[in-house]
Amino acid sequence: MLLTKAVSGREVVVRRCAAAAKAGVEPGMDLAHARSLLPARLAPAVEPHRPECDAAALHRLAANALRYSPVVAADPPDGLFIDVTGTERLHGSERRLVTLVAARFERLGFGARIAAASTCGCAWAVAHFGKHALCGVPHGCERDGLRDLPVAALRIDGRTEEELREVGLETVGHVLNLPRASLAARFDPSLLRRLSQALGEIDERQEPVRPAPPIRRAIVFNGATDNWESIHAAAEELLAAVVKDLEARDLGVRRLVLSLREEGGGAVAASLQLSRPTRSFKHVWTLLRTRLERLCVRGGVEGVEITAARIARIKHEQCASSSLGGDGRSDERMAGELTDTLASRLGPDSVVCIDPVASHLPERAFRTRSALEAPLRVSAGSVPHGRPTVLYRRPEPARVVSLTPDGPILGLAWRGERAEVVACEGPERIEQEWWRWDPPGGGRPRRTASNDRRRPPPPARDYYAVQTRSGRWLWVCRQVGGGRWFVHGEWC
Amino acid sequence: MGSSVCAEPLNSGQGRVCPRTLRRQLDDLQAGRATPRRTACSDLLPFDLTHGRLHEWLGVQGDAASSRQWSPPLELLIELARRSMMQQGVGRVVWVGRSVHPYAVVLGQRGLEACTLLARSLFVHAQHASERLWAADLSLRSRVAAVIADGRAFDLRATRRLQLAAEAGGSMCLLARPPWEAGVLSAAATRWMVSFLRSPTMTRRWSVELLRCKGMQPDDRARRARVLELDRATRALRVAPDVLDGLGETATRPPRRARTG
Repeated sequence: MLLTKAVSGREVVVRRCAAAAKAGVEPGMDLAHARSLLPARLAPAVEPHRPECDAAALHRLAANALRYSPVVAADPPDGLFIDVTGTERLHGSERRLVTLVAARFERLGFGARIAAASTCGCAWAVAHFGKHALCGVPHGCERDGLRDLPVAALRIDGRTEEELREVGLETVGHVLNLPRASLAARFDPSLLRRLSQALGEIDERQEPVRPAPPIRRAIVFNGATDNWESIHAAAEELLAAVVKDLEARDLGVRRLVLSLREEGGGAVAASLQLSRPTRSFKHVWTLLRTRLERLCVRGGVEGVEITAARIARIKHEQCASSSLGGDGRSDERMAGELTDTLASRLGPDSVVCIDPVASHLPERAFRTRSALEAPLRVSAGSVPHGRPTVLYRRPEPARVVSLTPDGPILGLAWRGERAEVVACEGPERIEQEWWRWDPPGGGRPRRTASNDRRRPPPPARDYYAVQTRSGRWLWVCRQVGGGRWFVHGEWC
Repeated sequence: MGSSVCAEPLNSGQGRVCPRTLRRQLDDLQAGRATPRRTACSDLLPFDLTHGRLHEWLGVQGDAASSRQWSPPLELLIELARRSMMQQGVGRVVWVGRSVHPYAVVLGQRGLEACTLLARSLFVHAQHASERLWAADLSLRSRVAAVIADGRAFDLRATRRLQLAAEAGGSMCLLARPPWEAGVLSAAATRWMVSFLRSPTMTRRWSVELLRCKGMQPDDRARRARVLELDRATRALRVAPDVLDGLGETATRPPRRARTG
């Protein structure tokens, strides 16, 4: 994968993936040159470089790293500073913390080089130019840690770096051996500042990320109460406050948690999931009230808390205004409210959407998901022709009369009824998806091993469309080899 | 159109309109009230179906005469839902009850490429009649394009509730019922009977017969059963081309007069 930008009419590589780096592609290279370096089997995905997207992603990653320390700062374009002073004890040790952070970033799909040191400058230098991907520099050993690194590790600009190289100063050790006064006289003042920062002689401040505080409202009663009217009123008031907070930040809620603090320290909570972000008080309160009534509380309630556990931006839509005969609600919003209300009473699994799946097997050509979940990005393949209007959930066993095993079907006994067959189309053979099972002779093991894989694949099926005397068309199938017949669907 | 349930324009000549209905329609026209939307389907059925109304479809019984198994006429309901969705721009379609959930692949083939019927459909699993009624009622009031519901064991009160909900939301309600419920009183605007037909050309064929239409007394032509078939090339329903005018034999039973609503 290559990210490029246009520089005076040329496409220049700005970022490249590990495979491209291995092939010798460097930032600043022409796209045509980079393509020529890559082997033919590695057709690169080329996309324009968008620095603002990188910055937003880095900010999100910094917010994610707040679990390790309350002070995390983004270091554009690709770095994070995590101030772990005092927090390393929570994770055992500094070394263990570094391993934990590396493992987490790897799970998120990022390759990371991590260094732990007592100054930001030293950690930055070792992380960027150190020999190992993960390492730590003990307190007081900053000089030794920096000594062998190139001068670029001091976070200086390109011109100063060039000037240092011209006079033969290649490593930080060379710079450290010189008297500070001569450095200040000959080079840019930033060199001395960076050097002092790396050695911890002067302080360095980072601007930490500050994620927006979670939207949470709570009321503590003056003593425990079991009066449901008070609890209802408190919950209603809290929800109104939460809706006001959401309005102030122009956000909507996808998941809301209502918890009642019980007498004696326990708490019971009800969670409300919504199909699309909303901040309609009327709609959310209608759903939340029924949840509140279903909560089982032992003893009195000391307090109520409502948290917007999942928030998202609301997509603004045009809708008919009330002066034009509409009620100010768009069709999409009404559909979302309908889904929420149906799922609230019937259960989230009883209100479903169906996504097409690229599979030739009739029972695998679609995937059901709860309407409260976001749609999957699936691509359906070519849609087969001649499929019935109804597909039974399980093929229903049937008995079939035919003159020869592969001959036309003459009669059918199914669901306790006998029917004469007057017309028959087929067969259409549908094979199993062979790639989902291990090869019979062992062979190369596949990536995901499960018990299903080790079983022999089920046999292929021959499908016939048959018409009974009453004119009904059924989709009948036979297991190849086994000879068992089933009715799998019908046209109705 | 107020509370009149005529499904046909005034001068279509397909049926004799009741004088009372005609008077209401004229009053509505004079008062400048909006005409209700219709789903254009006069190429399949004797007239276009009106939105904001309940339309009942009696399904097909199993092969044996004594069978208590039935199939809702889904192919026709899918076609009507598609037309209703397309007419409303990108409306939503709600399928209430597992027995009226069609095979997803078939729904994916209907509609435009980016906006298939499958992508705009919401499927509700509700077993009990009370749950199905509640879900259909709520959906109709939410201005969806069409609600297709399993109407087994719905009584007169339930159908009246659905009719009111359809009027309130301006949505079309298509209720599939088993054939043995033909005698149950209902507040539906139209009631249709669908049955299988044997075809000499190996196509899937149905006969659709108008049993009742509130506010209108259908003439002989409207009462004769239509023969519909599934076109293999376009995968769409059409009137069978080899049957004269697409009309089958005259309906055997006289249309029931509306007693309710």
